[in-house]
Amino acid sequence: MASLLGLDLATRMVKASIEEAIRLGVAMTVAVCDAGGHDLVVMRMDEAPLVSLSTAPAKARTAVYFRRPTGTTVARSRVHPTVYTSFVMSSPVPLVLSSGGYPLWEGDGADELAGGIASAGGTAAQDAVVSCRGLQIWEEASGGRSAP
Amino acid sequence: MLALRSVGTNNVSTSETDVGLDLRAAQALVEAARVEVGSGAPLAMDVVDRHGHTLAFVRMDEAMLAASHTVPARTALYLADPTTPFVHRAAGEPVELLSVCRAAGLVVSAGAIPLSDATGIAGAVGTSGGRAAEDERASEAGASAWRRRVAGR
Repeated sequence: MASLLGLDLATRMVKASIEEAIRLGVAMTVAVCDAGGHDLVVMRMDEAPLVSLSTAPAKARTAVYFRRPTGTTVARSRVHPTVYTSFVMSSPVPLVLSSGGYPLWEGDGADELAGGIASAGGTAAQDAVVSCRGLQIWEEASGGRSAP
Repeated sequence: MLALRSVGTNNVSTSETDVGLDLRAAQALVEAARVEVGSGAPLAMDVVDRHGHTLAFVRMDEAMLAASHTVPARTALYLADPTTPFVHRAAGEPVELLSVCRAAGLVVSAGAIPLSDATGIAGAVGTSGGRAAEDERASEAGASAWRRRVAGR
């Protein structure tokens, strides 16, 4: 079955996250990618640090590549730094080990990977809050599992 | 190129009051940093515009060749923050910072500083090739030359 996640839903998710970032008063970049880790929507707020334009899409991709929230991947990388350094260095596309990225699940068992969402430019807590607003839109649309 | 004018009334000439971060300003910053270095460790210095594109790059005689491929100024611009705290974080979170450096093309090099004017971040200055304290001192000389330009002094 085709994924629910397309340009339309991804745009609504990113816009909701951006509104949350505006509410927090932090300039950020928010990205949603598909199940292959390819960008669907990337939005950069005025004044967002330029590094966030690189890290938000890479963080969404990282959530997809490891099939888990990026915060969990960060924790594992601290236990196995050499292994994760090799992942980061050998991947043909950039991966970012930073919390605030989440995989998007769908299907009856919420076990089919649909894509990922991530935010960057704030603190770890701000990135998480902003991503989770978009995640909420995803869950309302997909009936997926609750936010981590 | 944005050409902000100083609000001072006793400015002598246009060239001295024009504080847009252009080639001339970038060269003046690099020169201020080079003078600060004096006969100390040979360094490489760079200045980027608000988009991260190089305006000026200088590698002093005998500076390590690795310094000619680093981009500390762009790193400061991308982070919108001086790079020294980033370098300190890298010591505690090496894998995380490495992943960010790879994704955004940044370098772990201390002392680079964003340059601001009335409109926000106008660019950045950075230095590499020395010890952290030497890089910081040279970049700060460039940044204070910029602040004097913006202040119209």
